[in-house]
Formats: sequence, C-alpha cells, structure tokens
Amino acid sequence: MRPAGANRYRMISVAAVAAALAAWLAASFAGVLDPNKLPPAQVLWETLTDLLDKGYASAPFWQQVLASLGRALAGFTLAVLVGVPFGIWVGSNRMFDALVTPFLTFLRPIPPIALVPLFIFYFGIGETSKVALIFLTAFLYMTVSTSTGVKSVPEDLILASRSLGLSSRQIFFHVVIPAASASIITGMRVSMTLSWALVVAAELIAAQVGLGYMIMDATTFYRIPVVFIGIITIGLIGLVLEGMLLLLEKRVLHWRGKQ
Amino acid sequence: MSATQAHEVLEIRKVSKTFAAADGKSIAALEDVSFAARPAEIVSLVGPSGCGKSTLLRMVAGFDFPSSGQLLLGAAGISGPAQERGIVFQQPQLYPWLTVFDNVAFGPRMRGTRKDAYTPAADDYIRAVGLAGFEKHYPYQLSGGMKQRVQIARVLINEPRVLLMDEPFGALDYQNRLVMQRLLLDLAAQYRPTVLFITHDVEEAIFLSDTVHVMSARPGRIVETLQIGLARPRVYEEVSGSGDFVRAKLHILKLLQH
Repeated sequence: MRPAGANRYRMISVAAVAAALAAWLAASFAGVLDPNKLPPAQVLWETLTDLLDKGYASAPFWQQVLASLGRALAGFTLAVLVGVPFGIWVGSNRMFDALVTPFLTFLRPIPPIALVPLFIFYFGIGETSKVALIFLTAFLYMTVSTSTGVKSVPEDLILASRSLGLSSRQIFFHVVIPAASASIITGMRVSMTLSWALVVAAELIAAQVGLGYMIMDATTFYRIPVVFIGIITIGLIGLVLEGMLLLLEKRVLHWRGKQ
Repeated sequence: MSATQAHEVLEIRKVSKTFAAADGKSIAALEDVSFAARPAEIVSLVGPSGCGKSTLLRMVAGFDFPSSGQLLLGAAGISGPAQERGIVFQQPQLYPWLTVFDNVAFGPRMRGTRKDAYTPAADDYIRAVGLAGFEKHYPYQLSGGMKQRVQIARVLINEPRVLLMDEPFGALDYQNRLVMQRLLLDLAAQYRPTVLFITHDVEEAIFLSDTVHVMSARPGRIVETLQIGLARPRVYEEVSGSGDFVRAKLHILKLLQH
C-alpha cells in the first residue's frame, strides 16, 4: 500500500519539476523572455560557458564556488566540533544548563544577518568575520539539537542499563551518546543548510570573491543572467550538501523513529 | 523455621515509602510491607493501580530507596542497581541501534568479556527465548512479544539471582500474553532465578506464581498472601479450569474489591 502511494507522490513531484522546466524552455524558444528579467535558456547557457571560460571579475568561476564552500564548511565544521561537546555538557549537567541556557535562548532568535555589521567591525572584512558568523549560527543550532538529544534519552533505558551492570561512564558513552546521535546528525543536516544559506548572505555584504559576491556585483552591473547562474549554482550545491547528510542520516540512523 | 530463613534469597522487611507531593504534603505509597522469597520462587504482587507495587519493584531494583525498613538480597542490603537483579520493563527498553544479538550480549560485552566467550552464551539465550534466526534483526523489526523476549534474554545472560518483571506482558494481546507466560515458566524452570512479578492480571499472577501477595490501594499494604499449590509444569488450558485456580481467582478478586 504505502510504497505504491509514496511512489505516486514522488511521480507528482518529478512531473511538477519537469513541467516547470518545460514551460521555461518553451517560453525561451518562443522568444518571449526578457534576458534581463527572466533569462531564456540560450542566454543562461551562453553565460554559463562564458563564466566557465573567463571566470568572473578576474577570478575563475570554480574559485567563486570554492570560496563560498570553504567558508561554509569551515564555519560548519568548527560548529560541530565545538557544539557537540558543548551540547552534551548542557544536556547532561543541570547546573551548566541553567548557567548558559538564558544566553543561548537570547541569541538563537537573532537573525544572523543582523550581526554582520558588528562582525565586520570586530573581525574585518576578511575570512574571519564570515567564518565566525557561520560558526556562531551553526554552533547555536548544534548545541540545542545535541542537548535535546541527550536530555531525551528515556529514563528507563538508563535504569535498564544500570541494572545490566554498566558504570556511569559506560552509560554515557555507550547509551547516551548513541541515543543522542539521532538528534545530533539531524542537527548537522540543518546546520549545514543554515551555513550554506548564511555564507551567501554574508558575501552579499562584504567579499571580494564568492557566489554571494558574484551575485551582488553582477546586479550592480546589470548582468542579470550571471545573477541567475549564481542563484542556480547555490541552489544545486545546497541540494547536494543536504542530500549527502540525508544519506548519512538514513545509513546511520535507520533505526530512528521506528518503534 | 530457622532452616528456611537461611535459604531466603530476597527479603523485604517492614518497608514503607512516602513521597513528597507537589503541595508539600507527603503521600504514603507503601506501608509496612514485609515478605520473603526463596531461591527460584515465583512471587507475584497484584493490586490496583497506585498500590505501590511498582515502587516496591523499583526499590528491589535499587533505583529508589525505602523511607524506612530494609531490602535484603541474601545477607546484604540492596544499595543500588546491579546485574544480580535484572529488570524487564513493560515498555521494552532495548537499544534501538543494536541488533538482537548485540542487545543480548551488551551486558557481558560491557563487563569486558571477550567476544568469543560471550557469543555462545548470547546464542544460547537467544535460542532459549525462541529468537534463533533473528540475531541480526533490529528492535524496530520485531513485534512487541519478540522485543520482550529480547529484554528477557538480555537480563538472563547476566545470570541474575532475581528477575524483576514490571507488568512485562501488559502491553501484549491476549494470545501473545499466554505464549509469553508459558515461555517465562519454561525459562524460570531452566535458569531458576527468583522471580518478582508485578501484574494487575489476577489469572496471570495465579498461573505463574508459587506465592501471590495481594495489595491494597494507597497506602500499599499486603492484605493477604496466597500460596498457589498447582502442580508444575503448568499448562494454562488444564490449570485455568481447575477448582483451586478458580477459587484462588474469585478470592483475590473479592479482596481487590475492597
């Protein structure tokens, strides 16, 4: 029953995307699209080959992509390395939880973009300000998802483990951490998506290279097809990043949510 | 008789438990409960919800402590959880990221037993609970009854002196419950732990037990203790219609109505 149903809905998704693409291609070849509003396929193709060929603003296209990816991954990786242990600490120590939670709760709803000017003031317009901004945002998210995971380990599972003769240390490493891993890996997936969205936003404001910079700069010079190539590239890379972490989630956490 | 005294493995001595309620008053959950269980005896506690039977079980498990009185295993007082007192919960508390085999072998593995030493034991207990062939399955691939079998095997591999069971079959359907009761009797006969079994199912208590303690509503007290003399091995279809069984059942039901 269910696989057949799931397949049907997948088909609907595929068909919707195909229809939208077909409509765009049809409009492209009918010649009704304004290259400076919604560029037709031919123009985007020319722009893409041109970008791959000559790069943008003295930097090759791949370098724009790598600059953004590098910043996002650097901030994300740091956030995971610091946020997971920090979140475990918050989740397992009531005292520490009470101490830091007010600050985390205050910081979390602040849109990271609101911090960009301050971060540029603190860290300059170089790499540090962007990586720091991504780090902070992803770190807050990793801390919350990790501590939630640690806190939601069923009490009776801990008690059962104690009755099996496990020490507190063994319960921590062999019960609490694996049980919390579901929440941690989901937190990583969301943090990755956040980091990627944020790097582009940060580059819009101050950067000399990167996809965000390219989009901003191209808009200034009214090179709308370049803007579109930038947006599509960002979207596709975002899909790949999320897909990779979804795959990891499915492999490692096949047991999750099934009772 | 002092000779039997020495053989008593589990002893509950004048145990009372009061909890602090939210409004600052204290609630008496258990009042002056005493009983003893012999090695390999199957003892049931039956009583209405809130009679403190689970509280008592948790104290025997070492998760909680009495307000007054003593809990003894052999000559020693119970001071915390230990593998000599294994517990089976109503909701299966398995490690969802481990296979059936790894769940069962978890205790020995954590104690540093070598894999080649615990593997035959784990295989034996998995076979004993009827899960041979399911070693590589994950808990989410098992039915409720099968999960309870894993829980039981995971505890038995530790060779506990006392097997604590907190309404372990309460969430199963009627057919499955009968199958699991039969299995428990077989396992108890084979491995001979003392079993402390909590249930509100009167027939289950009588069918399984050597001794049934009937408890009153809060504060929980033992109102009567029945010895169940039905011959073993017991077969439900034969035993449940016998005069002794029916008389015990009607008697307990009457006690519970007060």
